[in-house]
Amino acid sequence: MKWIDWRGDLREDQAMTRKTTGPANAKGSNRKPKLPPIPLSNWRSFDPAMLGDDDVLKEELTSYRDHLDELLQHEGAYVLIKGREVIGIFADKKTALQEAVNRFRDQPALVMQIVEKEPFHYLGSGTI
Amino acid sequence: MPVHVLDIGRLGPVVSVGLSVGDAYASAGLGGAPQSYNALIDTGASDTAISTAARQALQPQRVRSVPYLRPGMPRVPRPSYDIRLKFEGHLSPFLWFDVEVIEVNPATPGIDVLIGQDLIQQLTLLSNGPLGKLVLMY
Repeated sequence: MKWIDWRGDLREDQAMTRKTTGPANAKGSNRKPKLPPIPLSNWRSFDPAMLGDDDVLKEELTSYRDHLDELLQHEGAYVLIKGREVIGIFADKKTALQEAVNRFRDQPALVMQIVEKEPFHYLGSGTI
Repeated sequence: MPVHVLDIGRLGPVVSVGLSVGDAYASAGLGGAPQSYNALIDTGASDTAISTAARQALQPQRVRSVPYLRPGMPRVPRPSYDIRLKFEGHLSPFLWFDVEVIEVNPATPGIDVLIGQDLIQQLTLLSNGPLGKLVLMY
Protein backbone atom coordinates (compact mmCIF):
# COMPACT_ATOMS: atom_id res chain seq x y z
CA MET A 1 0.00 0.00 0.00
CA LYS A 2 1.18 3.48 -0.82
CA TRP A 3 2.23 5.72 2.04
CA ILE A 4 3.38 9.26 2.41
CA ASP A 5 5.70 10.65 5.04
CA TRP A 6 4.46 12.97 7.75
CA ARG A 7 6.10 15.75 5.83
CA GLY A 8 4.81 14.52 2.49
CA ASP A 9 4.43 16.97 -0.33
CA LEU A 10 1.00 18.59 -0.18
CA ARG A 11 0.95 18.92 -3.93
CA GLU A 12 0.52 15.18 -4.12
CA ASP A 13 -2.80 15.50 -2.24
CA GLN A 14 -3.97 18.28 -4.46
CA ALA A 15 -3.15 16.25 -7.52
CA MET A 16 -5.20 13.35 -6.15
CA THR A 17 -8.10 15.69 -5.44
CA ARG A 18 -8.05 17.07 -8.95
CA LYS A 19 -8.03 13.59 -10.39
CA THR A 20 -11.06 12.47 -8.42
CA THR A 21 -13.21 15.57 -8.66
CA GLY A 22 -13.24 15.63 -12.43
CA PRO A 23 -16.36 14.52 -14.30
CA ALA A 24 -16.96 10.83 -13.79
CA ASN A 25 -18.84 10.40 -17.03
CA ALA A 26 -16.82 12.66 -19.25
CA LYS A 27 -16.89 10.14 -22.08
CA GLY A 28 -20.33 8.83 -21.32
CA SER A 29 -19.06 5.83 -19.37
CA ASN A 30 -21.02 4.59 -16.39
CA ARG A 31 -18.08 3.73 -14.16
CA LYS A 32 -17.77 5.12 -10.66
CA PRO A 33 -15.08 7.70 -10.02
CA LYS A 34 -12.07 6.14 -8.36
CA LEU A 35 -11.28 7.23 -4.83
CA PRO A 36 -7.64 7.82 -3.99
CA PRO A 37 -6.16 5.60 -1.30
CA ILE A 38 -6.09 7.17 2.14
CA PRO A 39 -2.45 8.07 2.71
CA LEU A 40 -0.61 6.35 5.52
CA SER A 41 1.65 8.01 8.01
CA ASN A 42 4.86 6.25 8.94
CA TRP A 43 5.82 6.48 12.58
CA ARG A 44 9.48 5.98 11.65
CA SER A 45 9.43 9.47 10.16
CA PHE A 46 7.74 11.08 13.15
CA ASP A 47 9.38 14.39 14.03
CA PRO A 48 8.67 15.84 17.49
CA ALA A 49 9.11 19.33 16.04
CA MET A 50 5.68 18.86 14.46
CA LEU A 51 4.05 18.90 17.89
CA GLY A 52 3.27 22.09 19.74
CA ASP A 53 5.76 23.21 22.36
CA ASP A 54 3.25 22.42 25.08
CA ASP A 55 2.45 18.89 23.91
CA VAL A 56 2.81 16.71 26.99
CA LEU A 57 3.53 13.51 25.03
CA LYS A 58 6.40 14.76 22.91
CA GLU A 59 8.99 12.67 24.73
CA GLU A 60 6.80 9.55 24.77
CA LEU A 61 6.05 9.74 21.05
CA THR A 62 9.73 10.15 20.31
CA SER A 63 10.42 7.08 22.47
CA TYR A 64 7.81 5.16 20.51
CA ARG A 65 9.58 6.03 17.26
CA ASP A 66 12.98 5.14 18.69
CA HIS A 67 11.80 1.76 20.06
CA LEU A 68 9.72 0.88 17.03
CA ASP A 69 11.83 -2.07 15.84
CA GLU A 70 11.56 -3.92 19.14
CA LEU A 71 7.93 -2.91 19.67
CA LEU A 72 6.93 -4.30 16.28
CA GLN A 73 7.63 -7.79 17.63
CA HIS A 74 4.28 -7.21 19.41
CA GLU A 75 2.49 -5.58 16.47
CA GLY A 76 -1.22 -5.02 17.15
CA ALA A 77 -0.82 -5.00 20.93
CA TYR A 78 -0.88 -1.80 23.01
CA VAL A 79 2.18 -0.18 24.54
CA LEU A 80 2.32 2.10 27.56
CA ILE A 81 5.22 4.57 27.55
CA LYS A 82 6.12 7.17 30.17
CA GLY A 83 8.99 9.49 29.34
CA ARG A 84 11.69 7.40 27.69
CA GLU A 85 10.61 4.18 29.41
CA VAL A 86 8.47 1.45 27.89
CA ILE A 87 6.33 0.48 30.88
CA GLY A 88 4.57 -2.51 29.38
CA ILE A 89 2.78 -4.14 26.49
CA PHE A 90 -0.87 -5.13 26.79
CA ALA A 91 -3.26 -7.22 24.74
CA ASP A 92 -6.00 -4.59 24.77
CA LYS A 93 -6.32 -0.84 25.04
CA LYS A 94 -8.60 -0.84 28.07
CA THR A 95 -6.02 -2.66 30.20
CA ALA A 96 -3.27 -0.31 29.04
CA LEU A 97 -5.33 2.78 29.89
CA GLN A 98 -6.15 1.34 33.32
CA GLU A 99 -2.48 0.58 33.99
CA ALA A 100 -1.59 4.16 33.04
CA VAL A 101 -4.05 5.46 35.63
CA ASN A 102 -2.91 2.96 38.28
CA ARG A 103 0.71 4.03 37.89
CA PHE A 104 0.54 7.68 36.98
CA ARG A 105 -2.95 8.87 37.98
CA ASP A 106 -3.65 11.96 35.84
CA GLN A 107 -0.06 12.42 34.68
CA PRO A 108 0.07 11.96 30.89
CA ALA A 109 1.39 8.70 29.48
CA LEU A 110 1.27 7.35 25.96
CA VAL A 111 -1.05 4.43 25.14
CA MET A 112 -0.74 3.34 21.56
CA GLN A 113 -1.47 0.35 19.36
CA ILE A 114 1.81 -0.88 17.98
CA VAL A 115 1.95 -0.22 14.24
CA GLU A 116 4.55 1.11 11.88
CA LYS A 117 2.12 2.85 9.54
CA GLU A 118 -1.45 3.98 9.99
CA PRO A 119 -3.98 5.87 7.88
CA PHE A 120 -4.29 9.59 8.39
CA HIS A 121 -7.39 10.62 10.30
CA TYR A 122 -9.51 13.23 8.56
CA LEU A 123 -12.38 15.44 9.64
CA GLY A 124 -13.08 17.11 6.33
CA SER A 125 -13.58 20.85 6.20
CA GLY A 126 -15.99 20.98 9.12
CA THR A 127 -13.22 21.98 11.50
CA ILE A 128 -11.11 25.03 12.16
CA MET B 1 -33.10 -1.00 20.96
CA PRO B 2 -32.78 2.78 21.55
CA VAL B 3 -34.19 4.86 18.70
CA HIS B 4 -33.55 8.59 18.37
CA VAL B 5 -35.29 10.79 15.80
CA LEU B 6 -33.22 13.84 14.93
CA ASP B 7 -34.26 16.94 13.03
CA ILE B 8 -32.08 17.70 10.03
CA GLY B 9 -31.84 21.46 10.10
CA ARG B 10 -29.66 23.88 8.18
CA LEU B 11 -26.61 22.72 10.13
CA GLY B 12 -27.33 19.04 9.49
CA PRO B 13 -28.42 16.36 11.95
CA VAL B 14 -27.73 17.73 15.43
CA VAL B 15 -28.21 15.77 18.65
CA SER B 16 -27.49 16.44 22.29
CA VAL B 17 -24.82 14.13 23.66
CA GLY B 18 -23.42 13.54 27.10
CA LEU B 19 -19.64 13.35 27.49
CA SER B 20 -17.82 11.72 30.38
CA VAL B 21 -14.25 10.70 31.06
CA GLY B 22 -13.36 7.12 30.11
CA ASP B 23 -13.72 4.11 32.39
CA ALA B 24 -10.18 4.24 33.79
CA TYR B 25 -10.47 7.87 34.82
CA ALA B 26 -14.05 7.49 36.07
CA SER B 27 -13.17 4.54 38.32
CA ALA B 28 -10.29 6.57 39.83
CA GLY B 29 -12.42 9.69 40.32
CA LEU B 30 -10.27 11.69 37.91
CA GLY B 31 -11.28 14.35 35.40
CA GLY B 32 -14.25 16.69 35.28
CA ALA B 33 -17.94 16.01 35.68
CA PRO B 34 -20.05 14.70 32.79
CA GLN B 35 -21.59 17.42 30.65
CA SER B 36 -23.89 17.75 27.65
CA TYR B 37 -23.04 19.30 24.29
CA ASN B 38 -24.49 19.67 20.81
CA ALA B 39 -23.11 17.12 18.36
CA LEU B 40 -23.28 17.00 14.59
CA ILE B 41 -23.50 13.65 12.80
CA ASP B 42 -20.61 14.03 10.35
CA THR B 43 -20.40 11.20 7.86
CA GLY B 44 -17.37 12.87 6.27
CA ALA B 45 -15.25 12.54 9.40
CA SER B 46 -13.21 9.42 10.04
CA ASP B 47 -13.25 9.99 13.79
CA THR B 48 -15.28 11.59 16.52
CA ALA B 49 -13.93 14.94 17.65
CA ILE B 50 -14.53 17.32 20.54
CA SER B 51 -13.79 21.02 20.84
CA THR B 52 -11.01 22.43 22.98
CA ALA B 53 -13.63 23.93 25.30
CA ALA B 54 -15.24 20.53 25.86
CA ARG B 55 -11.86 18.91 26.44
CA GLN B 56 -10.88 21.57 28.96
CA ALA B 57 -14.12 21.10 30.90
CA LEU B 58 -13.97 17.31 30.83
CA GLN B 59 -10.21 16.91 31.53
CA PRO B 60 -10.18 13.38 30.06
CA GLN B 61 -7.28 10.93 29.92
CA ARG B 62 -4.81 11.75 27.16
CA VAL B 63 -4.16 8.69 25.00
CA ARG B 64 -1.79 9.65 22.22
CA SER B 65 -1.46 11.84 19.12
CA VAL B 66 -3.00 10.81 15.84
CA PRO B 67 -1.83 11.68 12.34
CA TYR B 68 -4.38 14.20 11.15
CA LEU B 69 -5.07 15.27 7.60
CA ARG B 70 -7.03 18.27 6.47
CA PRO B 71 -6.96 19.15 2.78
CA GLY B 72 -4.73 22.11 2.05
CA MET B 73 -3.35 22.22 5.59
CA PRO B 74 -0.06 20.95 7.01
CA ARG B 75 -0.13 17.43 8.40
CA VAL B 76 0.21 17.76 12.12
CA PRO B 77 -0.52 15.26 14.88
CA ARG B 78 -3.56 16.05 17.00
CA PRO B 79 -4.07 14.94 20.60
CA SER B 80 -6.60 12.20 21.33
CA TYR B 81 -8.44 11.39 24.54
CA ASP B 82 -10.35 8.50 26.09
CA ILE B 83 -13.97 9.45 26.76
CA ARG B 84 -17.49 8.00 26.90
CA LEU B 85 -20.41 9.44 24.93
CA LYS B 86 -24.14 8.88 25.08
CA PHE B 87 -27.06 10.28 23.15
CA GLU B 88 -29.69 12.70 24.52
CA GLY B 89 -27.35 14.20 27.11
CA HIS B 90 -25.36 12.96 30.09
CA LEU B 91 -28.46 12.46 32.27
CA SER B 92 -30.28 10.29 29.73
CA PRO B 93 -30.83 6.59 30.48
CA PHE B 94 -29.03 5.40 27.34
CA LEU B 95 -25.78 3.45 27.18
CA TRP B 96 -22.33 4.97 27.10
CA PHE B 97 -20.13 4.41 24.05
CA ASP B 98 -16.38 4.17 24.65
CA VAL B 99 -14.61 6.32 22.11
CA GLU B 100 -11.18 7.84 21.51
CA VAL B 101 -11.76 11.40 20.33
CA ILE B 102 -9.52 13.89 18.58
CA GLU B 103 -9.37 17.44 19.89
CA VAL B 104 -10.32 19.67 16.97
CA ASN B 105 -12.66 22.65 16.96
CA PRO B 106 -15.74 22.14 14.76
CA ALA B 107 -16.40 25.00 12.34
CA THR B 108 -20.17 24.95 12.92
CA PRO B 109 -21.30 27.50 15.53
CA GLY B 110 -22.71 25.96 18.70
CA ILE B 111 -21.34 22.50 17.90
CA ASP B 112 -18.73 21.03 20.25
CA VAL B 113 -18.78 17.42 19.04
CA LEU B 114 -18.48 15.83 15.61
CA ILE B 115 -19.69 12.24 15.50
CA GLY B 116 -17.48 10.47 12.97
CA GLN B 117 -17.30 7.11 11.28
CA ASP B 118 -15.72 5.35 14.26
CA LEU B 119 -19.01 5.79 16.12
CA ILE B 120 -21.36 5.86 13.13
CA GLN B 121 -20.23 2.34 12.27
CA GLN B 122 -21.87 1.17 15.50
CA LEU B 123 -25.20 2.80 14.57
CA THR B 124 -27.98 2.35 12.06
CA LEU B 125 -28.94 5.63 10.37
CA LEU B 126 -32.07 6.13 8.27
CA SER B 127 -32.39 9.52 6.61
CA ASN B 128 -35.64 11.03 5.33
CA GLY B 129 -34.58 14.22 3.60
CA PRO B 130 -38.07 15.44 2.52
CA LEU B 131 -39.29 15.11 6.11
CA GLY B 132 -36.04 16.53 7.51
CA LYS B 133 -35.57 13.60 9.88
CA LEU B 134 -32.71 11.26 10.68
CA VAL B 135 -33.48 8.10 12.64
CA LEU B 136 -30.59 6.77 14.68
CA MET B 137 -30.67 3.25 16.19
CA TYR B 138 -28.26 0.91 17.96
